Amino acid sequence: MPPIVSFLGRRLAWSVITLWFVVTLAFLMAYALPADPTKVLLGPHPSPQQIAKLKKQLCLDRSLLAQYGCFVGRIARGDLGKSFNAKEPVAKIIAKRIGMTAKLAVSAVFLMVLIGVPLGVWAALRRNQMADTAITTGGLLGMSTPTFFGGLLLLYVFGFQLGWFPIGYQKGHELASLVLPAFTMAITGIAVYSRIVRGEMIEIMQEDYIRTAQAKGLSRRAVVVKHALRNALTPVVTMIGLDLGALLGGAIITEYLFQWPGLGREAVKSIITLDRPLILGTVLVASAFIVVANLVVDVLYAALDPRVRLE
Amino acid sequence: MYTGAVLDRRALRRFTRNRPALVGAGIVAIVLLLAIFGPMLAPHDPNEMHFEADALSALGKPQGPSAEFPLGTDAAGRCVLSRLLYGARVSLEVGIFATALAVGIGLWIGLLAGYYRKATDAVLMRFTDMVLAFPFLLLVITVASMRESSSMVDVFLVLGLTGWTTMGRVIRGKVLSLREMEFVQAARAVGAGNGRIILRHILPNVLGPTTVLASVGIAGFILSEAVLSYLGLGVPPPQASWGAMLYEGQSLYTLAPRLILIPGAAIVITVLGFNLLGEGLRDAFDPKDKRG
Repeated sequence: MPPIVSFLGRRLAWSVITLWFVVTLAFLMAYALPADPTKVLLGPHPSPQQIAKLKKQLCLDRSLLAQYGCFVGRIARGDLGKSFNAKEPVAKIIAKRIGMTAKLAVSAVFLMVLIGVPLGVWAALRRNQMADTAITTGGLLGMSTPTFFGGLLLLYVFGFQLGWFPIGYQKGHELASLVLPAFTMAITGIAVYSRIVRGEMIEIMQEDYIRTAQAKGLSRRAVVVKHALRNALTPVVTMIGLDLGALLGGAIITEYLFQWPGLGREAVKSIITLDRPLILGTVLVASAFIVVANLVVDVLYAALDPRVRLE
Repeated sequence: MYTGAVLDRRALRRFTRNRPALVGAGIVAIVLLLAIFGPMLAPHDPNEMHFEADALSALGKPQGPSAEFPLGTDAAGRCVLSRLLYGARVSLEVGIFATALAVGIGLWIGLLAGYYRKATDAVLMRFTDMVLAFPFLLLVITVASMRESSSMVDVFLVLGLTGWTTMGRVIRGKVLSLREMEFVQAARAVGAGNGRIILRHILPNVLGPTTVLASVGIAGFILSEAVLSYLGLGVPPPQASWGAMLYEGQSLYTLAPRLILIPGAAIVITVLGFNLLGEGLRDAFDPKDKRG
């Protein structure tokens, strides 16, 4: 078997096992929740027949182990159950919300790269000068700011004081509503990306092949962009993949703060109202994104860097 | 006796010549002192509502700074400075205990995986991957919402039990290279057992990176505690924590931005202090590593 095939096969198998672990943990988590699904789904005063029927349907009349088997079986068939509160299939609710979360996640990652990478390059080329110190300090400050505090500050200044953007999500003004939450989510990422790119660039600019390129008489711009930055971006590609995976599962704090109608807000709502199927659904979708992102990043990494051994 | 990385004189000198690291150490020292002596310094009981003492205006609006209340009062007429000082203790306690737990788990997983390699390594590292793939905040929120009465113990247990993965991975990487070093092979050659090699020869050499991870870890856990409290799932009210103060203050932030700026600044400064300290320690232990 060629190494790339067995590498992919092994990674894929681990992804499936990881998802199974998540499903199991999520099952135990939901099982521990103090909510009786029959009462919630059937409302007050259901007939004993109704209760028995529903219990049978949800496998609640069987042992814990049988319930677990039933649960895994349903998920494997793509059936995430019905929300206790919305009385709607969980898969439908998630499908409705995922677009909004994707918009926010992609915008945030876009901002991280667009702002973080140039800042990192700039700091590296001006190492130990004013610009570098300012960017490095600003980065540390960004990393030390809790997301919701950064968001509250942005809300106060640009939403309340200046009135440039709506406070919270406004129907019909989606683009304007997107700006503040996207920046809020990007604060930490901008800080992290600029620091990574700075570190990589400093190291790479001292490599022999950079000196060779300079000796050939290439312009500084060509050396920096074509030779150094290209190599410095490999770890950034990894970060983009992982961040996108994590954010697509729903940015809980940001969505909650800005009332953004995405998966993250749905997840918080489901937990507060003890909506067991919806909790499980959001957890599973979020984990699936992380697992898939990990897989894609591993494969991309092997493809980008031939030195990575396919073991 | 162990005289390895932590007490290395050269590392100490590198640290004391690193200005940002000293700033970080200074911030951490001040916050620690405030957390210890805060209750003695606080001018009021942090939970007492001062209705009679001009703590609220006629309209029930929180009052700005005064001689009686140096940082003003909150929406319930409580002294903000006193709550800030009591909150320092909560934030640090959660941060330190959660880190201790995370270090306890991550350090051992890293040591065992890195030293024994092969099947042990595969199993432990895949387990780490699985924990990483679980949306940790959702788990924390679910556990927090399940508790009949929340307590600080729950908060740091949940944070510590989920927050050890980075620790485990970094320590494993260090151990993988350490176990091939000559001093380890020498110990093995003179007949030292695995347990002795791990405890006497490898463990002391990973204590440096562990202190770095611990410092950065405390910063991260203080942020997590703030997030939990901000969602109303942290330490139970009326107990003061910085996250809880932000949570309580956010409904009034247009009226009294001070109520979110003060606890927010306290979190940012403290977390920045621990991050600077952690970075300074890493530069001191590993001067070759210029990254980040």
